[in-house]
Amino acid sequence: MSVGSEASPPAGSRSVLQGKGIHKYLGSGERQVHVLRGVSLDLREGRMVSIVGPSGCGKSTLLYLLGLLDRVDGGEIHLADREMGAAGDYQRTQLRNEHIGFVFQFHFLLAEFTAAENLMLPMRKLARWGEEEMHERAVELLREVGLAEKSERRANQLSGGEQQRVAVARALANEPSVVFADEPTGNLDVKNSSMVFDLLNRLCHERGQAALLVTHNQNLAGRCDEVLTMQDGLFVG
Amino acid sequence: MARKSTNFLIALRFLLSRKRAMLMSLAGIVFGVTFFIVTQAQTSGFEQFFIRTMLGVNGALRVEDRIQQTMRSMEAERGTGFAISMDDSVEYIEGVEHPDELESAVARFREVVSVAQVLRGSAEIKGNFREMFCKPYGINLEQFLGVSDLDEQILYGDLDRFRNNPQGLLVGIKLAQRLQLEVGDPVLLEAAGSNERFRVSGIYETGIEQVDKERVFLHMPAARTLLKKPFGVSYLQVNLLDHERAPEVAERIERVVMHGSMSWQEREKTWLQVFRALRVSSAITVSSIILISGLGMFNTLVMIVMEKTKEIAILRSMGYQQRDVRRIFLWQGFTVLSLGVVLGCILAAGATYAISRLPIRIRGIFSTDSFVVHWSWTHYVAAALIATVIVMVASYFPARRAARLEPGDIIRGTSG
Repeated sequence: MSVGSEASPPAGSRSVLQGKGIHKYLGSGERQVHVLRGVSLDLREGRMVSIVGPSGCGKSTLLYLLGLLDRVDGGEIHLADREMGAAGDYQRTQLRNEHIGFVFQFHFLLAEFTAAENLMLPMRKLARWGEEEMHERAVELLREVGLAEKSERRANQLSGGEQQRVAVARALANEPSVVFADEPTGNLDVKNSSMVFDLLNRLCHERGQAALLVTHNQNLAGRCDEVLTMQDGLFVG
Repeated sequence: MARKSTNFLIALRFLLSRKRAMLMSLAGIVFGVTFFIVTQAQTSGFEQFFIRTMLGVNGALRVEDRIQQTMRSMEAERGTGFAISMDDSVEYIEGVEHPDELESAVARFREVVSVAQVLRGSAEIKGNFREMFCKPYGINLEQFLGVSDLDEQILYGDLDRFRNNPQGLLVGIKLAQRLQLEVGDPVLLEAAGSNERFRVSGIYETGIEQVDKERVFLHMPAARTLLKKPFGVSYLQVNLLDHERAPEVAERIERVVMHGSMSWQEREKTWLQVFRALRVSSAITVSSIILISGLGMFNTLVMIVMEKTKEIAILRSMGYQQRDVRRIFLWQGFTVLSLGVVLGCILAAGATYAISRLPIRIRGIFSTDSFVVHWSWTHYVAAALIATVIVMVASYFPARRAARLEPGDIIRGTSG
C-alpha cells in the first residue's frame, strides 16, 4: 500500500531494507532538479514490490539509492541494521556484495567468462564458499533458471533471454536479502519477459528475499505483491 | 587468497580480450629489455676487458716519485725573529731511491698482494739492420709475474728462455713486426752512450698498441747496466686483493710512505670516462624503447578501461571494491611486464651469447678477435627495474581511472 510519499509496510514479514525521507537532487545550479522529495519505503522479506511511473519520475534513481549505488542528499537508508545513507564507499560496496543483488535492463554479463563463472564472480568476492562449492552452487542456480546444460558456455554464446536469466541467477548467487531489478525485461520480447519475471518472482518468494522491481510494464507490475506509483519524486495513491 | 586470484583471473580475461594490442606492448617490453641487456653486456664487456688488460700490464697501482714537503717561513715582524712556518707545496723527486725499503713498507699493507720493482728508461733498439726507439723495462721476472699477466701475454718463445738468459729480452709484437724480429734473434740496445747485446727470448702481445710497439723487458741487472742506473728504480708496480679499492689504498700508501701513488682508476681516467659515457648513453637510448612500449601499454589499458566500463560497473555493483578494480588493471600491467621481462631476459642471454661468438678484430687499447661481453646479473636487474617502473607507472593511471568510475552513473547511462 502506498500513500503520498510514504509506502506503508504490510504486517507479518520482517523488514529487510528501509528508506526514510529520501531526497535526491540531480544536476547543479539552475539546472538542478529535485528528483526525489522525501520518499520512504520498507522492503520486507519474501515480498516483491514494483514501482511504476512515467519516465523521469525518479523510480530508477530511488532504486540506485536503495541499492547503495548512489548517495542520498537527504534521508536515511537502513540495511542489515545499519544506517547506510552516509556510509563510505568501502562499507557500501561490502554490503552490496553480502546483501544486494541487481538485475538491470541489460544483462551486463562478462563476455570473457562462462555462465557459471559469471555467477561465481560475486561468490568469489564474498569468499564464503570453496571453489568446488561455488561451482556447484552456480550450476544449481543455473538449473533453477533452466540453463544448467549451458553453464560452461561463454556469455556471448547465449541468447538475450538466456543472458538475462543468467543475470537473475547471478543476482541471487550470494543469497542476498534484497534483489533490485531495473527494467529487467525492458530488452526482451513478451515471452522472455514473462519467463524472466516469473523466475524472479518465484525465486524471491521461495527464498524469502525482498525484491524491488522498477518497470514500465503495468502487466508485470500488477503481478507483484505490491505496486507503488511514483510521480514527480513522490509516491502517489 | 580467493580475492587475489579472482582479480588476477579477471585481469587475464580482460587482457586476452585485446590480444593484438597487448602483444604489441609485450613485444616492446621484450625487445626493450633484450636490447638494454645486450648493449650493457657489450659496453661493460669491453670496459671490463680493457680494465683486465690494463691491470695485467700496469698493475692496480704504482708507487713512484718521492714527495718532498717544502716549507716557507714568513717573518711576523721585522727584527723580532718570530716567524710563521707554513706548508707551501709538495715537490716530487723522480723515482724511488730506496726500492727495497719502500717495497717492504708497501708490502705490509693488508690489501697488497704483491709488489714488483721496475726500472724504466729509453733506448734505441737495432736488429735486422733496422733501428727503432724503445723503452727498456728492467724487472725481476718472478716479482713482475705477481703484478702482471706477462706469462699469459707471451705469443712466441717462452718465459723459461728469458728466465735462463741474463741477456734475454722480451719484445712487444708491434716492435717485433717492425724490426722483423723472431725468437732467438740478436738485438743491440743503445742507451746512455753505451751498447748492450741481447737475444729475443719471447714476443708478447698486450693489445695496448703503445705498449706493444715500445716496451721491451730486460732482467733488472742488465737494465741497470744498460741505463747506467746502479741504484734505485723508476716505480713499484703493485697488485691488490681488490682492485676496486685502489684509490683508497693509493691514498693511504702515499700518506704513509711519502711517495706519489696512483691508482689504475686515476691513471686510466679518460678511457674509463669514455666507457662510462658509452654505457650510460646506450642505456638511455635503449630505455626509450621500453618507454615507448610503456606508452603502448598505457594506451591499451586506457582502451580497455573505456571498453569495459560496463563490466567495471557491474563488478562494483556486485561488491568489488575500488581497490579490486585498481588491482585488476595493475595485474594486467604486471602480467605483461612479467612476461616481457622473463622473455626479454631469456632472449638477451641468447643474443649476448651469440654476439660473444661474432668475430671482430680489435687492437689498440686491448686485443680481441671476437666481441667481448660481460655477463652480469646487474644488467638483468637494471633492465627489469626500468621496465617495472615504466610499465607500472603506465598502468597505474588507467587503473586509478577505472577504480574511480561510479557504477551508478555508468549503469544509469546505459539504461534506456
